[in-house]
Amino acid sequence: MENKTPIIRMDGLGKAFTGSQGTVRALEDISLEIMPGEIFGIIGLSGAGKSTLVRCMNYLEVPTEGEVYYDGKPLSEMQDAELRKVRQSMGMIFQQFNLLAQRTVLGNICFPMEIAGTPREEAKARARELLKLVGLEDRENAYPAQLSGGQKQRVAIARAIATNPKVLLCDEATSALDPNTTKAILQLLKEINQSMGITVVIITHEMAVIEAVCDRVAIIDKSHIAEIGEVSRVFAEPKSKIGRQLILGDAAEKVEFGTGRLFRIIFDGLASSEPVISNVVLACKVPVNIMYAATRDIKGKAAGQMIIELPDHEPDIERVLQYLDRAKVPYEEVGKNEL
Amino acid sequence: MNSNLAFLFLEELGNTLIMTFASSALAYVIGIPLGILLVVWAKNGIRPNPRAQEALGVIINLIRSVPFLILVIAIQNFTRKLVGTSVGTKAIIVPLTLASAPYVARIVEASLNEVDPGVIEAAKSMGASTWQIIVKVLLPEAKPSLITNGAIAVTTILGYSAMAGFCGAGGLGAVAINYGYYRFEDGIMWIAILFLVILVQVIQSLGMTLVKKVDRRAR
Repeated sequence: MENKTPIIRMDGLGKAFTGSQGTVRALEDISLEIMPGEIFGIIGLSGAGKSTLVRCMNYLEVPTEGEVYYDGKPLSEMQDAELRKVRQSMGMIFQQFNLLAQRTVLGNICFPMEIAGTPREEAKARARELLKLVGLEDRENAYPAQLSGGQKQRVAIARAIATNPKVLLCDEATSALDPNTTKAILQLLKEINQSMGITVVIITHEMAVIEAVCDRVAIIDKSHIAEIGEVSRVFAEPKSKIGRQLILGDAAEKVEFGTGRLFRIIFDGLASSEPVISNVVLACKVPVNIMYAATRDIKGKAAGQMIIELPDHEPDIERVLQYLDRAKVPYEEVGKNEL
Repeated sequence: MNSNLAFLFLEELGNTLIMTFASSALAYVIGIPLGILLVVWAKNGIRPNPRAQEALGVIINLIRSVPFLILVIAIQNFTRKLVGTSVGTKAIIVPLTLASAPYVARIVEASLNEVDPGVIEAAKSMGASTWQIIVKVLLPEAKPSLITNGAIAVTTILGYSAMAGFCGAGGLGAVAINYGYYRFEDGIMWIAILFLVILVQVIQSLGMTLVKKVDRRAR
């Protein structure tokens, strides 16, 4: 991988939008390299600038600073016709699918080939081949309005790879889909990456998407790259604050203790294999501070007691106590000086 | 007398149809390219040229703001030069076209602006040229809306053609004006009006039927 030319390279890239409200710097000092054949993820919260970033890759947005290189060639020096050729070698899919509503599924997949000047019959044959690949061979005469979200995205993927591009840009491609469909679409992207060798760039705000398919990831925060690296490394030890937040979720936020209310939980023979406290945290999304614990495992049963502190926030406490009621775990509130 | 009247109505119905459809066709020949330019040159258009777009907009508004009957009189000399006469069905097509074209340009603009910007972006991402986006995305995707607005445009132009009866044009409007207004023959005027009403209904429902047939979005 080291001695290959990056398929996409960004060097000191910046993008500022000037409007009536003044200048907004959507991207600043972005430098990254995407290698041929990899699945590269770009993650960030909404408004971080990741959609602008992906649009700079095919010059749908023209950067105001820095340079984008496609296969070693700077995009800024290209004439219109050359740039259109580059775009034909980069497919793109979108959150809202962006299919032509007045064309059939087959017509949609033929569309980029019409643009590229592929003869009609050849285009149709290729489109049918792709429909088989995405598992929609029986829907070629359907219109987009007759398809589900997942099916629409499959058509969009078939359309995006119709002209045999080297890169597939995915802008929040699974954000409008349910979890199962998301999984299937990601699987399809991975298959396409492996069988056709297409470099895939995935923009998302969901860490699970990155985790599922990406080789490397760049974390974008407030117009900058906060962190970039192998997904396994970033997940194991996120270096940036935003990285920790995205990976560990709310749990990474520092919680102030010492001001909360205390409860004594009594374990009188519950199965010790049941992680009561972890379940409370997961189910109620409330940070729990263990102040004191004396429990023992006696032949598979937990015995003893534990004092936990809950943040002084009525709805949170309510949720935890209801959970404990349901789990039939006895508890009582204790005063601070009883400790 | 009765057969004379029937003949009169038949002839003037023909004149109305000729005026309306010839002017509509010509207005669309001029209005579609103008409407496309208004959209393509817009600030967020596919080929932004805001100053040219604004200039075009001003010209269109200028022509649209001249009341139709005054426009007919104002361009009499031009009309005479173009078709050899300034009265009659053939002559009225000239001001009728000139008055309708800017209106058509605006409604074409409105229809094209309804096209999902995401779809245009997708076409761009595939390397489509401006011309390809216009021909393969903008116009086909806007087709249902273009037809809906087309029916409105034709019925509006029909109304203009009737008004033109005041200025020496023929047609059902002229019948209503000549018999009803100048000769107080209310009966004949009402028949002419009835014809106009039926025409509007027919054009409108033809448009709607066609839209239902071509629009692939619903169902």
